[in-house]
Amino acid sequence: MTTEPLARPAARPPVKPSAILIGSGGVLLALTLLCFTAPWIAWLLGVDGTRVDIFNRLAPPGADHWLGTDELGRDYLIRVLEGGRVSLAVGLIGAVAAALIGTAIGLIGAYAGGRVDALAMRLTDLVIALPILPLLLIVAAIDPARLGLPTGGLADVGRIVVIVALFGWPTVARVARSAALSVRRRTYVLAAEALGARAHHVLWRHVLPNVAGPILVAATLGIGNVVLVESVLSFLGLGVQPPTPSWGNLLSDAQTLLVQAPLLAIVPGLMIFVTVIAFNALGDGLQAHLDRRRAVR
Amino acid sequence: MAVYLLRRGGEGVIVLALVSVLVFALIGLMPGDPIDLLISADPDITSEDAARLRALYGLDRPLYERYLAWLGDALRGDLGFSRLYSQRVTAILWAPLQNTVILMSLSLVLGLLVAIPLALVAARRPHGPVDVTVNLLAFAGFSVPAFWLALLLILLFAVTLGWLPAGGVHAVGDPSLESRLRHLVLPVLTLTVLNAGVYLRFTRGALLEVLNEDFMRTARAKGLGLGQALLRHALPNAMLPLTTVVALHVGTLLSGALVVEVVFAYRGMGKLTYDAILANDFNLAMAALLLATGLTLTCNILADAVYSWLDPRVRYDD
Repeated sequence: MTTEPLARPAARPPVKPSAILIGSGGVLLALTLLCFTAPWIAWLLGVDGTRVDIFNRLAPPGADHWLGTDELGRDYLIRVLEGGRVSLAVGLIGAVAAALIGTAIGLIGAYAGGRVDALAMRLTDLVIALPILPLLLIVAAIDPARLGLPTGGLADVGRIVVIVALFGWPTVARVARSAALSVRRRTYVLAAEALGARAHHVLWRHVLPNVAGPILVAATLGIGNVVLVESVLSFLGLGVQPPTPSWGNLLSDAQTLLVQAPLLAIVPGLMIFVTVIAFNALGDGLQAHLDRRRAVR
Repeated sequence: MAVYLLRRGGEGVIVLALVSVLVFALIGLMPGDPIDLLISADPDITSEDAARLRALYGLDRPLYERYLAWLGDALRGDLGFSRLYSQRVTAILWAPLQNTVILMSLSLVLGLLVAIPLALVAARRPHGPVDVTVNLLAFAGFSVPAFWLALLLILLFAVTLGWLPAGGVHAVGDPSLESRLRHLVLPVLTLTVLNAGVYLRFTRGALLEVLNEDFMRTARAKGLGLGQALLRHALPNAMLPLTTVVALHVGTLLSGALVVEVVFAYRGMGKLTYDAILANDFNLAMAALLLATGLTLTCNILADAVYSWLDPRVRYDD
């Protein structure tokens, strides 16, 4: 029996992204591109999403207007795409903001331990358990002018981002904390501490890079939720205000025209549905991808 | 156990108090106090009158003084007067609370009745075609915007087919059980779809995890069929975490109920809260929000108690 020479460990085979990952990513990319190029699409089709044309109200879908027109004669396809721009932007920015807050709270809790951790987790559990939508309605209904904040247009969208971030951080905080706890006692963290690294340095350079995967998954799943919450708030008239379109307030307008023009209600809802499913699938696919990569390692 | 429940109850009261402070402060930031609204309703009111009225109702006092006054009254069972309904708040809350509890409990039970059998079928062959389909259904269930699903159901069953009413608690002047049930179908259906999605995803996950346990292999080895093993051994073990998820989900369920109630004009707590906030009916909004919070906290505490009763390994007397 001959002893085999010690071979170098084989390079780890790359894990191919799954069909779900590619599919959902592709759908989201296409949606985002379509929404953010809405002005050019309008120009190409020779239509206008803002010009009121009262002689052409609630036109059925046709060659001129692919999805017909709304109650003011505006091209509905462009309205929906422009609405998507706001909804997707709020979803992305809101989820990133929520992920930042959640990561900070989760990491600090896990690293500090003891009372800080207990308090952070109590707060997290509480926000998850509370009937959050009724409480958010109150936050959404306050008058920003009374706090000395600007109103209208972009400030309005910013307000919604803050509100959805307030709602979205706890799930990320939980994930970040449990991931951080699992690397808290690893040798590289202990080594860094033994070498006298400060807490923020250890967290930033050693803990965060090793917990980024699960946080990314939680944040991706969070985008879907944030898109849903924004659409609910806008649907209830407390989110993005017309004339700035968002999928939620388009649906709210369509509600009263349900009988005459059902398409006005069906399309924006379908867009929300597809977007949320795609983000959830993307998050799920990412999770599976990371799991498999770890299994290969 | 009793000590534990008492402690959790105490914590719940503290949380309720904190939420009340928060909501009270936020309400103070909502546009228009009662006197502003009075002025817009009656242009003859002079600014001196307005100032006098503000002083009369204590609206010129600092926020914390007003909160303490509200708290004192509330603790004596006086939640104030609703401007929207011109009634005492305590007289308004009962009927909507009942309506919401009916809506929520029906859709919770139906959601479980849909989710558990589907999850059991899916778990027979993980990642098989049935499982993939069930998983897709679950995804659709918790990704669908509630208000859109509600509108689609109205469009189909109320507008196109004309089988069911589009909204309300019961037909005008007909509070019979039949009328109530007919009005419940669509709201309950909407919420059931949302619940079933969440429960399905969770039950399936829990079942798949249990499948690899030693006791499952033992059960199969002694000759138990897969279906029986799933039903008798996997399901009871998966039910444990499910109780927690269902209970923690009550807050989300209340949020979902709010949207569904608004779309279907179903007079429950959610619609009451929404109407109160839009109409600047501060006393009613305050009471409705605290009631919803209290309800959620109670359900969470109950879930912990049920959990330890179902699983004697879990003990809370540390």
